[in-house]
Amino acid sequence: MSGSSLPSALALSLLLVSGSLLPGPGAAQNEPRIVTSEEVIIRESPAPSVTLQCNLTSNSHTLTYSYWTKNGVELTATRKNASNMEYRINKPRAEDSGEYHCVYHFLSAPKANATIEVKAAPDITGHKRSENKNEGQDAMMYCKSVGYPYPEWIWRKKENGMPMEIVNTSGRFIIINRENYTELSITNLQITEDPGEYECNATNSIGSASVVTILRVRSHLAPLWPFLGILAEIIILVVIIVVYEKRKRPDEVPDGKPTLPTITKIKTCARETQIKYYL
Amino acid sequence: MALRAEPPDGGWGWMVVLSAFFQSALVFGVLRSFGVFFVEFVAAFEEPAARVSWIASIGIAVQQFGSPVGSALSTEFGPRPVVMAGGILAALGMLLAAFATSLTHLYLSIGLLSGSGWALTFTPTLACLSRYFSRRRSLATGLALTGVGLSSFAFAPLFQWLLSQYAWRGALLLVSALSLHLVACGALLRPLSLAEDPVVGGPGAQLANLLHHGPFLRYTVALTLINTGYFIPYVHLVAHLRDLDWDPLPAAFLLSVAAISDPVGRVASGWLGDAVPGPVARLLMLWTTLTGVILALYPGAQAPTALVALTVAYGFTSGALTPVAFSVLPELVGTGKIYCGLGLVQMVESIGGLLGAPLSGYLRDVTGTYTASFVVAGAFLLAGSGVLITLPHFFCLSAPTSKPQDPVTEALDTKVPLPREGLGED
Repeated sequence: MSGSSLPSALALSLLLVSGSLLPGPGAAQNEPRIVTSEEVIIRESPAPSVTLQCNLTSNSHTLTYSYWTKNGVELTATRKNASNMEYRINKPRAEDSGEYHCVYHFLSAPKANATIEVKAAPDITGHKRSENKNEGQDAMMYCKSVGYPYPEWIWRKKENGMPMEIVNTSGRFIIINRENYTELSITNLQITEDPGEYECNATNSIGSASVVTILRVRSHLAPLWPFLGILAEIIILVVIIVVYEKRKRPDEVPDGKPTLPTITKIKTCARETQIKYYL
Repeated sequence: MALRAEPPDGGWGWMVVLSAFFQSALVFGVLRSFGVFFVEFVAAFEEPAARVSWIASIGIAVQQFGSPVGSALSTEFGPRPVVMAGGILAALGMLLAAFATSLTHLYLSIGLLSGSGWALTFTPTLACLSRYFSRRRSLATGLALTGVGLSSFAFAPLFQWLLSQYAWRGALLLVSALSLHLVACGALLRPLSLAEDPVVGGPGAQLANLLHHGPFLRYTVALTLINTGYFIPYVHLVAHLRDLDWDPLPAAFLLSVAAISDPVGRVASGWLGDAVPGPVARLLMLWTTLTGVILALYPGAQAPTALVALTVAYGFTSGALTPVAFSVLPELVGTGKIYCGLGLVQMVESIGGLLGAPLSGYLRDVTGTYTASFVVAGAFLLAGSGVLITLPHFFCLSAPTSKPQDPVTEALDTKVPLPREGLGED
């Protein structure tokens, strides 16, 4: 029947046309493929040197240039025009770890990249050895690390020699964690409970590290007692000196300008009236 | 206290020496050791080093330029109330500094307030000392001035310890209490009335008279020249040694050696100044000439032994010239005008001191070594000692008394009555 064969023929042709328009398995052959070396884990130090490799295979586009990036930042002097990219790390350390990309740019196609992860245990590179503040002030302790993947940070305080997790019952502890940085702030330092050793601990899938910062809190009143003591001593000294002088020479008041009231003093002070004039 | 014809030369005078000793320690020792606080201020206020060092500069400038004020006030009121007030001001400045929230606060409290306090203490005390002594004036002055050197030794470590124990605010609080001892020292300055006091009049008249006093002006010029060259080694010696490839530690040690021979020179010169007859100005000229020659020899010395010997000698001679420098003044202007005289001299000579170090540094920047700096410093000292030759009675053989060179017959507005009755000794 001619009536029923027409729609099926139409459908078939539509299918064929749409099939040719859709990207079929053959089109995938135009996309670049990149073969990379394995993920690297830097363990002991000194570690053997590491070479990252990227090989651009099955590429049908014109390659303009290629380079390496680490954590999104292009590495200097890696820009080349080669499909085979190598990046060598001599004496790898924790700070060499990160997410490395080999990036390929093409003439008339979007760029392509591949990822190689270089992992290491965290290494804490910056912290304060001690923090000395007055009570009531705010203390800030920090730790900086290098290492990828970015670690989890835990702050502990050593109580009786054992590190204990910090409990923020008083609400005065503020912890800020960023990828390779952590900060512990304590507001309104209390001299009874806050001084001690604080440990920051960085842990990632490879390993962990920790360092200790000693917090000391100085009392406001600490200098006050010596101050008052010295003040009292000076007053006593001055009194002794003045009294000694008055007792030796009771008829003298040698200091001061000549003023009218002195003239009205009694006879024994008449001498001092004149003496006042001369000083 | 009676109107004396002659200074007592002892007795209570030794207590004045003690007072002056502690005062020179508390004023200059504190100033010199203030560098310890420097680092703390830079960190606490997050200001550059140059701005923080203005604190000490303002304090020194106010102390020196305020000297005439201290002198004038002590002529009017006597040294005791002035020094005690100065002590309270100096301590108050430190106390307020302990609560400072900005660098400007420190400029005002330590620089201005404490500086004014120091201006009211040091000059009146030395002048008072000169009034108490005539035959042993140089020795007394020398002994009193050793306080400066000893306190520099003691206060620097003390301040460092205070900083570690109490933080800089607490440390300033305790330095304030320390400075308050100036009040106790002031209490020891029992006033003395000497025969020439009624004649010389009030401070205004004295100042006017001094500015027309030829020998006084020449002496001021001499001291200014001397002051310009005097501080150079203390400021630049360590740098000069580093230029000669010395390590920092031996270089600093050499400066300590000078700091030891300095008080020895002061006491020795003080004793010599009293023992030798004739005007003290001659001894001052001797010591300044020697110091100038030593400074000029510095560039020529390369071997460590030569440098050590020169530094020991420099410490001795530069220390030696200080007490006699103060003793010349009463011989020139008399003990009646000593307060005003000393104040004026301090103010003018401080110009030399302020200019000397930068000039030396500039010469070093221009020429590349400290040779020119040391030679110029020596030249200034020799020029100053040359001017000293022009002082009256320089070539006399007999000892002058502490009476003023110009007799009583000067036209002065005294505003005070002369004594109506004879006053006997106490």
